[in-house]
Amino acid sequence: MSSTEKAATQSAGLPVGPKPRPRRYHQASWDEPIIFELSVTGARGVLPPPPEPGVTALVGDPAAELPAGIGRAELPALPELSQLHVVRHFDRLSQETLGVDLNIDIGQGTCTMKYSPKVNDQLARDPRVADTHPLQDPCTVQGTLEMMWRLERMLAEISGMDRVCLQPAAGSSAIWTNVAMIRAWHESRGDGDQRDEVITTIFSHPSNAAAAKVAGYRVITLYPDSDGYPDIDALRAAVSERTAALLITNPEDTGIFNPRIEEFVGIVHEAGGLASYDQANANGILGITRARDAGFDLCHFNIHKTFSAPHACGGPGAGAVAVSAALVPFLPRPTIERAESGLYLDHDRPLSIGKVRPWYGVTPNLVRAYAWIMNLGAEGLRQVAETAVLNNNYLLQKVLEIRGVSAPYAVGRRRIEQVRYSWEELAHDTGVHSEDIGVRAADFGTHYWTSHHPYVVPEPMTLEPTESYSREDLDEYAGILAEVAREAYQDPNAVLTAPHRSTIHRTSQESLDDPAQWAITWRAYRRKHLGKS
Amino acid sequence: MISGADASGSLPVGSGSDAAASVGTTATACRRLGLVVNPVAGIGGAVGLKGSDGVETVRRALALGAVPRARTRAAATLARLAECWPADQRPPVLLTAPGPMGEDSARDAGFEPVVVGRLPESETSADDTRRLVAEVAAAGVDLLLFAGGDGTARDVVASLPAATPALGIPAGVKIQSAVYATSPATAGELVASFLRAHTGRRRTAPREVLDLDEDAYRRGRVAPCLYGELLTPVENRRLQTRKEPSPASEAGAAAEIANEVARALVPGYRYVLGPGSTIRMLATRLGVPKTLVGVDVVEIDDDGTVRVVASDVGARDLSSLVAETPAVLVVTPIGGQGFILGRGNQQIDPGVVRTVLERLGRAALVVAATPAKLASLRGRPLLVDSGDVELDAALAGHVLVVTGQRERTVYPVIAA
Repeated sequence: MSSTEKAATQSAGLPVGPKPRPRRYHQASWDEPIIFELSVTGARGVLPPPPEPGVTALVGDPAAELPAGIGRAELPALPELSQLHVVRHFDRLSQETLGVDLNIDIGQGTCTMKYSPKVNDQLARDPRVADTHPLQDPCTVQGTLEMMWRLERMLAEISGMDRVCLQPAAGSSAIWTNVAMIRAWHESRGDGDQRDEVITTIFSHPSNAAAAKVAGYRVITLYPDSDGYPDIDALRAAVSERTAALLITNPEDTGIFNPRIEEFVGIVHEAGGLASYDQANANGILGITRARDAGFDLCHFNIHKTFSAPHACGGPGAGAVAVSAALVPFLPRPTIERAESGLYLDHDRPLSIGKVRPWYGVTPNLVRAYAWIMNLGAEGLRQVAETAVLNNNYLLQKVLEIRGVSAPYAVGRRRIEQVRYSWEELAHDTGVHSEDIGVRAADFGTHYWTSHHPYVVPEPMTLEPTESYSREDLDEYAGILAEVAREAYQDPNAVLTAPHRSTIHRTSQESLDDPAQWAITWRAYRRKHLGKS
Repeated sequence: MISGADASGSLPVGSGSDAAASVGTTATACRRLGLVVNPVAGIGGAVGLKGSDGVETVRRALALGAVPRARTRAAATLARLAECWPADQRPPVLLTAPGPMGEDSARDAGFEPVVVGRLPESETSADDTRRLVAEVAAAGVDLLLFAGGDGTARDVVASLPAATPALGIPAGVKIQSAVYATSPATAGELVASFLRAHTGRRRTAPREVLDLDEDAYRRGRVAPCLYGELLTPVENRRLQTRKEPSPASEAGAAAEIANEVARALVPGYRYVLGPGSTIRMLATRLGVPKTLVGVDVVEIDDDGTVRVVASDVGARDLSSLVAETPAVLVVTPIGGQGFILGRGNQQIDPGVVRTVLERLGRAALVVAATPAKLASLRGRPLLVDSGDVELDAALAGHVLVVTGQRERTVYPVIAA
């Protein structure tokens, strides 16, 4: 127990003392097995009744009516549990973790962890959404198509682009979709083979480099200039007749907006390439700047970031791509089109890159985003951006008052919606590293994310407060960081040996780099660690 | 590159894995730790002498009122080690050099060391460090701890058997080498977890030993050279500090670079491979031996066979080798300074660079570096100091650095 905690406990002699600040969070521990390990052969959550005699008399065995191809020869390898055990399992897991509905979740910078209004969940769970099937005839889901058609137009208006597609599964999927359209566009002009390079920046989302590489491109990364802006001379050195496109995030993950973005686009256009705007960081520019107005040919949105749909622990999110008129023929198919008889899906698009996802997007998340935008309206969207920027700069001010932390680049300037801070001074003074501080923050009920790799900003910490958090939330969060920094200077071991109130101590990250060790599915775990097929 | 039982092993690794394996077999239940302290390490720093190499410098520093700090720093490491050691386990046997070269620090920290070797008659020097490192190692240790700076690490790499893991306690003025723990206390924790681990589970990775030419450094010239590698313990219990990339991800990045450059090799050209572990990984990928600190020349035959044309060449031989056949230079920035020409690879002299550039243009200079290495430059440009001002000016601008498979980074280069 720290001295602060003791003081708080002993204070006032009241039967219930005032709650200490920062709060002393303690993670729950249920020692909960993996759900597969809980499986009991034969256990069932739902036992559907047999068909009633009248039905059987009329149609025979309904199962016999199923086409032969859709039956499984063997049961799927799923865990067998009762409903109660499933509910208990997931409730226990939810108690062992943190999340946007539980803590001040602004430490997950670049992820835009905003509150998802619960009324939007009600809409997504509406049987007219939840109980429809992707293969239903379009004439039976006109309402869903109408919602998507309108959402497309809203995102077109927000980005200034001519046409939107909601099919991508999430952000990286959307970037890959854009890269595929870029390639199709160059191929249609006969220089697809020649243009084999994609340019990005080190502070853009790494998904840009990753998606381009997966699509077969050679990736050229630009470092920032000394002010932290993407280096325009480096761009000039990088472009050539091999340039297919520039994929760039703006503001970048430093929270710095590139004021020469139009020049960047111009240089790439002059070299014959296309410019694609990663709008994962759009939360601070909604209603203020537009991708098309800066000359971009394509852009994408993360519906689960900017437009409030939940991230859902890595999925499903939802992505949207938006393109200028010249690229419309290459959009994934089918597109939603309007005829006199109603909305229909147009599969007859010969230049399309094809499908990037089964059917047409992550419908429940599109419903949430549609409801969110409709609730806010155009003015409300701009207010979201302005509040997010205000929150971020309020937090910036508070954090910079803490000893040992700095905000490299653009010193003395404001940022857009996030900041990549550096604990370099504190690490130098105390031997406590940024990772240690993030782990110690967990003892106070929050955490933060450092940065993508490599750490261009040393000892990084990336905070993005969005518009969801109150001034009291921001004060509490900054107070936690201040407390951990104070500890680092006065009692570094308290930080270096953290977490003290979590149920699992630090884990080695080595396994994440080692394909022989990592296991992201039960099947992989069985194969790699239990030696079972 | 990781050595040890659970190495990911996507590429064949060099001497490192053999080394760790042999250590694993010699250790017994009783852990044996070696300690050699350079008693005058760091003595020049506080009095502005930019280092402590050479007996004259040490005398000047002492005359200026410098206080040696290596003894207390080594003692701090041992004290932390003792704190981290479980009470119910036998403490490690400590083998130290005598007096100020280890024994004093050990006694300060409450250890009863086994003293190995003898002190010289007069002041200690680098020769004594080298001699006593060899003698302590010969007595059989699981790990050699040494306190000092880059100069001390040079002495250790020169005299320690390659198979023996070593870890530095930072006590010197210049610490460029990656063989040092971040602080004396961290060194103690690292040693405790290394020695406590079952021998088969101890993990080490080769780390570069770099040093500056101190005379040049005092005149304002920064000239880091690569002197070799030491097998250094890798933390596997606590969270990896990701400022330093993990050995596995760094080895993966170097392997990617090796694949990328190897795929681009064409018959009819000579490839001049500069010093550094990134380039040595390329040689490993090509299946040819490579000197770590030397410049080697290879060729590829029409059937894909790679041959070493010349090994550890000097400037004169290199000039004639690149004059005969079109050649490509493959270099990596050395150490934390970011020199791609003129430091650590002076064999590649201005004449050699001009010859290859005249034939093939800028494509004749391939610069390779892992993303983490570029990030470690903290935005400072890469440097060239070939010895030819005009050539340096011509090379300045931006260079396309090979950072992975189908990956390049545009990075600025300036004349140093």
